[in-house]
This record gives sequence, structure tokens and C-alpha cells, in this order.
Amino acid sequence: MIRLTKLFAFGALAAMTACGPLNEGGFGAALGELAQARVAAIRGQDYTPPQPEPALAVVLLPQGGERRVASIPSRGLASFFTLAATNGDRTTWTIAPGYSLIFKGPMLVGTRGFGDDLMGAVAPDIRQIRGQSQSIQRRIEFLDGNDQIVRYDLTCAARESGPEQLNLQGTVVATTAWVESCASPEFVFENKYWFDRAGTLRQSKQLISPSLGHLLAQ
Amino acid sequence: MTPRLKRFRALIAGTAATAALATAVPAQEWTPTINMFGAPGLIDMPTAEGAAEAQITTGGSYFGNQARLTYTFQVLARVSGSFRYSRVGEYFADGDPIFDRSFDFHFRFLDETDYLPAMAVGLRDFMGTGLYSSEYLVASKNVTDDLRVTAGLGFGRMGSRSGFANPFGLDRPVNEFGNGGIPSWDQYFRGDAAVFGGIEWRARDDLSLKLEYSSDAYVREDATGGMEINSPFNFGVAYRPRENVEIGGYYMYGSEIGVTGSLIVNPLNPSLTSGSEPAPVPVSVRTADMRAAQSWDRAILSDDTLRTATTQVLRSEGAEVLGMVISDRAVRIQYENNRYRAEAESIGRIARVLTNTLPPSVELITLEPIREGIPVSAITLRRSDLEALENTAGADRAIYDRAQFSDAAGDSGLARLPADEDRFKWGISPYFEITVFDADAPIDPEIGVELSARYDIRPNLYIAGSARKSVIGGAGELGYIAPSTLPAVRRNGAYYNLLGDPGLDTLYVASYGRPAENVYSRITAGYLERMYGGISAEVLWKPVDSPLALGAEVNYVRQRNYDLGFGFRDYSTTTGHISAYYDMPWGFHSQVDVGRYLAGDWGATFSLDREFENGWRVGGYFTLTDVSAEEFGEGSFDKGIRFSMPLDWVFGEPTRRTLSTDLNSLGRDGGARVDVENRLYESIRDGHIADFSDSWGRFWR
Repeated sequence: MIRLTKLFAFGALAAMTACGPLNEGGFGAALGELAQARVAAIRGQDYTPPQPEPALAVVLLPQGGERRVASIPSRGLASFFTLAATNGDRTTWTIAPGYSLIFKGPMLVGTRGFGDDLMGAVAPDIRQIRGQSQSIQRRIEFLDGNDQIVRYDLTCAARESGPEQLNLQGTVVATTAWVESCASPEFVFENKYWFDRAGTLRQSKQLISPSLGHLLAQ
Repeated sequence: MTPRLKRFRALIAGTAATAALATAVPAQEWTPTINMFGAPGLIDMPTAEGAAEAQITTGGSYFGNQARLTYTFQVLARVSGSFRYSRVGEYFADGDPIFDRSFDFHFRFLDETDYLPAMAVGLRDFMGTGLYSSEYLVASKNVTDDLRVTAGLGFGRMGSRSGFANPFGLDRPVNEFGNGGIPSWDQYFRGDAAVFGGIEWRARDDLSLKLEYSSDAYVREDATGGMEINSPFNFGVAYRPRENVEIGGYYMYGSEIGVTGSLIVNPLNPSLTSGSEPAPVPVSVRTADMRAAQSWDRAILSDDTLRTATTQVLRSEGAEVLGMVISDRAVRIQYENNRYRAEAESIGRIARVLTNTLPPSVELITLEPIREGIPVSAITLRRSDLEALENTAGADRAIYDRAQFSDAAGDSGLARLPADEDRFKWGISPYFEITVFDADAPIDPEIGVELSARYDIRPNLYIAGSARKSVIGGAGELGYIAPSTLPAVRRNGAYYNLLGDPGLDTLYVASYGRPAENVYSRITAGYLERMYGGISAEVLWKPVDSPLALGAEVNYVRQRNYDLGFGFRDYSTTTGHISAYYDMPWGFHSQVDVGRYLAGDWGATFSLDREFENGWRVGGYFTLTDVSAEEFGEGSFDKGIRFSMPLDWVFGEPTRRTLSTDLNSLGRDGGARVDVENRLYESIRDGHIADFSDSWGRFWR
């Protein structure tokens, strides 16, 4: 005779109905949130899981500070991010309730809160893109399903792809687009950058991770 | 000058183009389909291939009079093991079925190349009654991208159709399995051999057509009339509608319809690859002037205010501060991580919060995770390192190299902070347990309600208890209890299910301590588990940076009354073990316990688990004592398999909960131990370097 006890003691049934302080934050809460997310999805609503109080985020957000528009199409996310912190030449932009984008200048070097985040990156200087460098060295880092940081080194090449009209806030802006093509044995992807005639970067589309796709930032 | 971003507008862009650009290029791999034995294979025959490393396949199959439920674990890339529970109808002369457990082993010793096939050797049902006892040598090769050919040589049952004389000249003796559960060394690769083989055509990525020639003649089943064997050929289709589900339908042996269904889980591939926790608080970087400060004005910010504020703000990261000492240049915090499975993630997030709250002069941050009320290690980080490394590539390794790990430094100077939460905690939850492999009731489910409660007298001294009431199912009758000459230490467990409803499962006082550097202690007294009450004392030596731990435990216990009240029966005993734990390379963990067991028998338990960095564990153990196989009864000695799955792996949300189970024999008296909750090693190990480093990738998460 063999008894399978603990597997089921905390199983699905327990999860749905368990209550009391000893059962908080466990399987039940997680399953409850999953169920709510599913209901919200059925109703066509966005569901945001309850987040811990961003106790310090309020302090960090500069009042009336800079904002950066970002969109992650694969997540259906398009919003303003607010400058939350500056660390040397890197800036962290956040939006409640728990998403962060990290840039080095205009180049994306990290994300947090999206799931399969870009955990770290060595990105080129934007001048290498405009200089149409053919030997741009990039490194991107992800967290895999086994808690390990996996690193990929890529060689990228930039080229001008021609003039494009961008509609920014209802204003049509004439830009020139540059494409950065990157390849490694594991990945092939392209980033794209739009510069206006003054040479100012007006928009970029940069890879976050294979599952999240690209970030479109202005 | 760096170009600036000047215009802001919400954008919705098409996803197709962006997603297509980020394309991982997979290697061309053949994903094997699952056979009737719940392992990669043809239909009833094996192939040389293995599943993806770490894959766990739970497969059910049915044809003729054969029903099999198999659990296969790909232990390493080349090695897999299976555990199977089978029902064979009309097995005995009187028409009764047999229920049987079996174990398989499969080793691929040659990988496929352009010219050579993959080759493997395997043992089916290699210990015990040997119902499916057979061995094989098999080769598989893709002849085109979509067509795979397999041929093999089988022995035992797999040598029973058109067999020829053993190529090594070895006879196969009668399997003297006795009480079962012992490897049948004298059987392997002996007796007649026969050839088997087949082809698999991958019609679509999710659909395979299979044809095989089986070398198992099902001699006994054919003779007893349980199955009609008209042909050695089997054919059918395997369909994998989703990555983790496979079903199959086959026409087998010229008379039978066979069906399979398999659920596939791979610990290395969570559905949400790396979790979905919210972004951390960014590091607050000090200016050079601020870094140069040697102290701060306590008239503006007192130590007490700082402690209170830190306690409150760290709750946002699921950390309960239990003690804190702060000086001008350093802070030391003892905390209990209640949210993140990986302690490294908790440390990383707490440290980032502290860069925002601590006075600028504080440079050293020492964090001491608490388990069972006692500190288990000390991790010291330099605030300037956090500032320098945040958001840089390779920051995980860099901060690991600069962090200092040591034993927790004791209570000297530590201001104890009263926990804000109530000391009394309780919970009510339903439970669902299932008893299997009982000859009278092979699957016996039970649903009930469990009430649990805990009162913390001090963080390291608490009273805990739990009680249960069965609602549906459970032991309505006693069932069969095998006779034994040993004291009834476990075989009378069924009485507790029958008479102890409702019952008090546990009620005990537990105290944990740190008597010396690298040393941990525990004393637990009361109703320790459903069958035993008494006192249990344990001491553990475990340096924070050592993969090796040594422990000793002594228990004086008395068997509880069957009604699960407060009374005791006559049987009492002293048990105890010396234990060695070793966190091995290559993802394995081993444990050896030597000592005296509940029935007064002396022996040792050997455990080996494959442990994944993300918290999954799959393993097994066996116990050998001076109880003979005859005294022990069915199975000959105690053994079991077990797995543990972290729930953050399932849902992506941070939680420290795990889902775990043991599959072992409860009804035997040899090699039985007292089941004490929260033993030391498992309580503290994830606060030590070996486990830290496993999941250090989550530090900057």
C-alpha cells in the first residue's frame, strides 16, 4: 500500500478553498490570480496581478520629469514610462505596477517585470549605427527556466535603409531609417532606428527577448 | 552628444514583423514519441533515443488485458529510468488479475551521427517479480528527415518470439524473485534472443505513423486466454496536439486495439520561462560627497526610526525583519524571506531597496536570512558595488565574486524587532490524498479538511499542530495487513485511517538554535506525526560554504492510539541516525543515514536526487537494515521515489511553496523512520552557498 499524501494535500482543490494566514501567498493565491486573469481575458480586459506596494517608487519618480513612450507589441503594452533612476550613463524608466526599461543613452540594455526580460546587454554606441559599422559587437543576457543567466554574443552590421515618414503625435516627421542586423548561432534579429534631418533619434525598435519581441521607443 | 528623446506618443504597432525578426534557430532534432511502456519508443518496443534531458513523462496505456501507468524520468541526457504500475487481467489460473510494480533503465551509449545510428542498452522490469523482465540492445537511425528506422536484439520476454540461442551461450535461469524488489542479476541478457524493429514516419510535426515487429510473444497471456496473439506486427498513429500531451492509437498483435496517453513535463522548461515578478526598485546611487560621509545626523533620523522604516519597507519585498543593527558605516539585518524561492533574488531585491533607505554613509550591507527563527548565513555586499554593477552586462557574476559569504555572526548587538504580525497563525484547507497499490483497492482516494495552526513563542520556538476530518472516501474498512514477525511499527497504519477520523495529526513544540559556529540544533516534542509522539533532538554541522553536512538525530517515541487522540499504545522505542549530506556536482544530491529504525532494526538509508537549479527535485532512496527480506515481506526492503516541484515554476508568481510527494511503501515495518516535520538540513540548506549559487542568476531580477 502506498500513499500519495502531500502531492494532493496542497493540490488544486486545496488551492481553491484554502484560507487563513498559514495559507497566504501560496498555491491557492497563485491559482486564484490565475483564475482571475483567465476571467479577465475572457471578458477582454487587461488583468494586472496584485503587486506589492511600490513603497519607494513614489519617492523615486521625479515630479514632472522626463517621460519616454514605449510599446511592447507582443504584450499589448503601449505607454509612457517615467524616468525613475539614473545610474551613470544608464537610466531606468518605470511604469506602475512594476515594469522597468533600462537604457544606456538611447540603447536598450535591460528590462524588468515583463517575464522573459532582457537581463543585461552590451549595446553599441548609437554613432556606430549611423556610421554603418559592419562589426558591431553585442552581448545579450537572459534568465533561463533553470535560473541561469545565458549570454549570447552577436556580431551586428548597420546600414541605412532609406527615408521614412514617421507620424509622431500627429506630426509627420521625415526621417532616415538605419537597420542593425545581428546574428549568432542561436539568434537572428534586426533593430531599427529612425533619425530626423538634424540627426536626432526619433524612434527605435530594439529586441528585448525572443518571446517578448521588440520594444518600440520614442 | 547622445540623441535625446523628445516626442511622446502612445504607439500600437503590428507584432508580426517584429516577432518574426527575433527568431531562434533550433537545431534539427527528432522528438521521440511515447510507447506503450511510457517511454520513448515504437509501439510495444523501445528505440535507442531518449527524451530531452530532465523530461518527466507520465504515460498510461491499455490494450488487451494490459493496463500500465508509467513514470519515466530522463535523469541525464543519455540515461533514463521508469517506474511502472501495471494491471494484467486474467493473469492467474482462476482469472484474477495481477497488480505489479516494475522499474526500467535505459542508457544511450552512442549518439546518432551522419553515418552511425544511435545505440542504447536497456533493462525492462529489472527487479522483482519480473512480469515484463526483458533486456535489449537497440539502434535507431533517421534515413530521411521524416523517417526513422529501429532494429534491436531482445532477451527475456523480448526474446520470446522466434527466439534463437543466446549469442553469448548463456542460459536464463528461473527467476527466483522471492519477495520481489531485488535486482535479478542472474537474468540479464541470458536465454533466447530475438530480433525486433520498426519504422516511424513523421507525417507532420505533430503526427507520426508507426509500424513495428514485436519480439514479445505474450506467451502467458496468450495461454491463459487473456489476449489473443495473432500477429507480431503492430501499427498505428501517435499524435501530439500540444507540446506536453501525446496520444496514440494502435492495432496490436492482430487482435487488440491499444491506446496511450502521456503528459510531458520538463523541469527545464517552465511555461513562463523566468517568472513574472514585478520589476525591482532601482538602485539609488549616491554622489561622491554622499559616499564620503562618515555618519549621519541622528537628530534628523534616529536609529529607531530607521529600523521601523526599514522593517516596513522590506515587507514590500516579502521580507520580515527580525533583527537589525546599524552603525555609521554598516548595517546588519536578520530577515525572513517569505516570498522568493531563490534566496539570491530576495537578497538582490532587499539590497536595492536598502540603497534607497539607508543613510549615505552606510557602505556595508550584511543580510542574514532566517530559517525556523535562526540565522543560517551572512551575505555582505558593498553598496558601492551595487551602484557600480546595476544594469551592466555580467552583473550577476560580478556581484557574486564581490559578495562575502560567512556564517551568521550571532546575536551580538542585534536589536530584536517585534514581528508586526500576530504570533498566532492558522489555516483551513481541503486535502486530497490517494492510496494506491493496495491489492484490495488499487486506487483509494480520500478528500477531507485539514485545520492547521501555529503560535510563535519566539521566532525559534513555536507550537504547531494540525487536525484532519475525512469527508469523502478514506478507509471504510481495514483492508489486508500482511503478517510479520517484526513489531507493528508501520503495518498497522491502516488502523489510524479507520479509527482516527477526525484525528489530531500533529501537536508539538519545536525549538531551533545555533549552539556554535556552523552548528544548528533542533528539539521537537509532542505528537510528532500520525503514528508517533515523543521527543526528537537533532544537531547539524553545516559550514555555509561547504557542500557537505553532517548530522545526528535521536528520537524517543511511543506509538499513538489508533483514535489519534492524546493517548499512547504500549510500543515505544529509541531511534536515531547519523547522517551525511553531500551536494554533488552535475546536479545531484546524496544523503546517507545510518542508525536504528523504528522496529529496532539497524541499517542505512541511501538517497540520490537529481536537483535542478530552479528548485525541481526528482530522486529515490532505499533502506537496507538487518531485517531479512523474508521478515520485511513484499518488496524485500524499503525503497521509494519522490519528486518536488516549486510552485513558482508552475505559475510564474513568486512563492516559496513547493508541491512534493513520496511514492513509497507505508505498510512495512523494516527500515521505517519517524516523520518529524522541519528537520534541520532541509530547513537551512537554501540559505547556504551551494543553493545560493545555483540560482544566483536571479539576484538582479
